[in-house]
Amino acid sequence: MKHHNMEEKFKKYTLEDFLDDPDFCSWARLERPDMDDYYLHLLAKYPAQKETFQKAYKLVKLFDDENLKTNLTRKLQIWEEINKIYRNQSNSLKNYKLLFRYAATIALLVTIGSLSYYFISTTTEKNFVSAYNRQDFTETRLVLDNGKEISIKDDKSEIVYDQGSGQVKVNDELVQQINGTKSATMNQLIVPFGKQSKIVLADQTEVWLNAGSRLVYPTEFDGDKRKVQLQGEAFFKVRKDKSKPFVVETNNSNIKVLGTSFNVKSYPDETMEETVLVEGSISLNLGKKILGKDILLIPEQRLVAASSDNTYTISKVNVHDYTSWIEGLFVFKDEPLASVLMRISRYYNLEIKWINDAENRKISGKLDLKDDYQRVLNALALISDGNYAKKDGIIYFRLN
Amino acid sequence: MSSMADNEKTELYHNIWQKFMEGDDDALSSIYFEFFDLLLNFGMKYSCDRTFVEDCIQNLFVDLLKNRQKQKHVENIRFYLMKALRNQMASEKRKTQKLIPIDQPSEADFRISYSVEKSLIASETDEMRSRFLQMVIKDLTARQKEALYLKFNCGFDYIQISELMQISVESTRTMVYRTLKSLKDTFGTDYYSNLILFSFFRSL
Repeated sequence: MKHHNMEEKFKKYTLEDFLDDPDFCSWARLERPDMDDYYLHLLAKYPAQKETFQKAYKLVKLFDDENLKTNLTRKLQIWEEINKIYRNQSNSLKNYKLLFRYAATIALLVTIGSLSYYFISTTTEKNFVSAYNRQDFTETRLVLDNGKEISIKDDKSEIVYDQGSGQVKVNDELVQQINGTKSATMNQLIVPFGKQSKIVLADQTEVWLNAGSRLVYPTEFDGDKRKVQLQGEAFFKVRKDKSKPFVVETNNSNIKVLGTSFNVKSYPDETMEETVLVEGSISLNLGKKILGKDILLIPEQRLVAASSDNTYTISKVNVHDYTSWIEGLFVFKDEPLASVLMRISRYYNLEIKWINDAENRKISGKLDLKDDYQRVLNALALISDGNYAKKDGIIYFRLN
Repeated sequence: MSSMADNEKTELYHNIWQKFMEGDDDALSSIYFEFFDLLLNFGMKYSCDRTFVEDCIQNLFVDLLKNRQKQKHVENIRFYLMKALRNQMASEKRKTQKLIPIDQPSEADFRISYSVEKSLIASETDEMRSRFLQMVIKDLTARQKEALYLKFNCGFDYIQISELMQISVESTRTMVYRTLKSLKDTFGTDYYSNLILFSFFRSL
């Protein structure tokens, strides 16, 4: 019926009528490929209209112009600027609360504009790859040399070994007095998924431990080396001491430093180990071979090594992207979605499953980990043009 | 992009705008990223200075954040943002006095020919198209070009165009019709009739 009316109209259409018809105009702008057949059909049927039709089409096309595109970096830059100006301009007390919230939520510095995150469709369990096994314990644990374990409930905690006084403090609270005459023993700090911790070692070296990480260290560094063991991700700010090199031992490598700061990521369930040097210098011995060649890194270099065969690449990076997790920001550039999901699952202690495509989809962006996981996943869905659904405590992430 | 999808999109924008009004900052950022290029392209029709247009877009979003509580219900977000950008650019221009305000338009104001000059490229059809376009629109005023651009390129209706250009709906309608008529006369010369093979036909 409707089509019949349109045909009647089409027969009598003047140039102005065509140009007044929004359907026609959007078809001419190539926005309605579904109408191709329709117009072809009408033209074949009413050849007398062809000329008017063509003129109208040409006219619309006249205004069809080239499209300027802005690169993502620039868009992000302007968006950050917008937030900065907004925060600076509205500093009245009344707005304080709102502002604070806003500041804590620049969660969505999205790279790919897409609105799909409001579509959360139902998902089925098959085709999904499992993310990460959840840990059973949910509290940060400090294991002292006498076997004593201290549980720390806070999401973020700080542990200090004060060599001078021999005190061990957790969030400023004294938990152990180390007897100075006793020889050093190994302690460890275990940070579960969903938590972070900072520890100040006996030599005043500071170590930030990311979620799902473990650091084994001595209560005192006596001997010719300062040696710690790491599983997971940590940022080190090593106290300078030329006479006693600081060595970080991971599953794959020994990292020797004098005084410097750097980030190491070496999770046992990941196939890559990553080291980013912020300042100073470090040398790495991959495979921990006695005769192995040491690799020297200079600041702003990132080394990624494959756990399987110790092949590696070195690239120049913006170090802030790799250390911003300390401030609760998670920056990623051209990172496979799967690896981003893995980080998020660790950070929030969530079980996340995804489809295989997530290995190939590279995304860039910035997430504020102070947000709850829904907001972060929403943002991620937006960035990656995907969506997610939660079922039986498991999150299924899927690309559109 | 079917008309169905457009409706869905419109509804989606609506929901997102609603969320923004309710205090969801993520919502505004998704609007920002979704509309940035569209606004940039639109703004570039009024100024050659890309930085200036970007600055205006920036101010526009700062204002949106600042005046969130004052926002009224918005019927069409795309239209709303484009209108706001046009106003923003007009008031910025007024401030700097570098250019003539948009609501006192001059030839220099609306530059639909910009892209044409730029897109004189190798292909003969394109070159002919550009020449044809220049011929067709060279006698149009900036206001006429703007009205046609808003109509054909942006797909706005007369009410929206009149709101954007700050003239009555009746004047808008008259202007568009008059412009079309003069274009029709140009077409009458048939200078161009053999030249255009629609991309649509090409693709068949």
